[in-house]
Amino acid sequence: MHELALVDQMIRILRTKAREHGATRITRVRVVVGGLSCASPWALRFAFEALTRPQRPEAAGPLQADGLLAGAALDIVERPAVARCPRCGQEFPLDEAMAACPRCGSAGKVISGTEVYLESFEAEVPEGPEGTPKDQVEEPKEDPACLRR
Amino acid sequence: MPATVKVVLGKSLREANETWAGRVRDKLRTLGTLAVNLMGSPGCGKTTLLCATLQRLRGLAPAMPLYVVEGDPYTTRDAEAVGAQGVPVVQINTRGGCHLDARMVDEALRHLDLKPRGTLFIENIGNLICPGGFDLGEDLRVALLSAPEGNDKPEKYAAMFRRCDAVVLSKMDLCGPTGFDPGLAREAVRRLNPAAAVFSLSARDGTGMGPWTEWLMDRAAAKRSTADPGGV
Repeated sequence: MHELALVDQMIRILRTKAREHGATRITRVRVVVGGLSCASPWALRFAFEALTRPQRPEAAGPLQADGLLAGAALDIVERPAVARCPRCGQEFPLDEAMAACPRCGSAGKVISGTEVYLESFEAEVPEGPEGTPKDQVEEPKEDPACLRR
Repeated sequence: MPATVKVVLGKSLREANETWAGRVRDKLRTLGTLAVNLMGSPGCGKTTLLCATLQRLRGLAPAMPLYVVEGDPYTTRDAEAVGAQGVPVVQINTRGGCHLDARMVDEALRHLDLKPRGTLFIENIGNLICPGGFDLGEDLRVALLSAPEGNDKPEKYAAMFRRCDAVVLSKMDLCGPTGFDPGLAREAVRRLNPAAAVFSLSARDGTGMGPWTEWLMDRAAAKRSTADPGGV
């Protein structure tokens, strides 16, 4: 059930960023979920729909009332976990359980797969005075170590 | 027709928790106080281990301040058990929530009169999955695995056992009746997480408590050196 907390945080970030970019409606959201993140894609989608689609207009909460995210599509990119062998440097995917290096048999150290992050969103913006706005904006990336936690 | 924009962010959804965890970590660094996050299934013996550990630490280091933050979905039973040892304790009830987060711990610490150079134990909600995903600002993540749970649990709950600093194999007095094989459990942990310290003990009869408490004492000593002499 902690997916609800993750999606709540996602919606808060989206609302702030939508305001900064002058967006009026968010149409698509893309999140990356690592294979060892303890976040279930199914539960993330359920939470996203629950928090963005009011069943009845009068029941809309503060995160839904203005319809900024109503109807937004959610893309979930599932990223398999990867380990690196501390002995021979080989990188290999971690499936479910024990993962020994396929080359030398040592225990691998997880280098990615614990992350859950908001990768990007698409939104409608009013056309600016100088014509169409930029169609893609890259914000500075967070410390990758932070994304992996 | 409105134009569209794509904004590429790369923003962690655990950001809010990470911010709070950073606050907890800064506070404890200044104090030179070690924080231990105890995790494991419901009924794996976290509270029994905690009470036995507090008793031992008090004998070994009577001057070291000890604190406990107790997480439970409901009831204050564990906080009462810990409080009976005369250790300051704050109860967090998550009302059914499956894990503690760093904001809850930060709030709990406001209710403790923390003295420098101590040790704080945080007993997490009984659950082998969700607590593993939330940094509480702790120094040590400790996962318990009790004999009745079976020695195959490290493989099944790999995310928990892969990301901890120590594994405590608990209720070792029950190995006979449950068929638990501590050697196999150790081997499973070693394959997943070779750096983790592994302790086999029984908090009830005291077997194996020595190496575990000595390890904690060493870590507490290392953390004390981070205390800010001006701030405390």
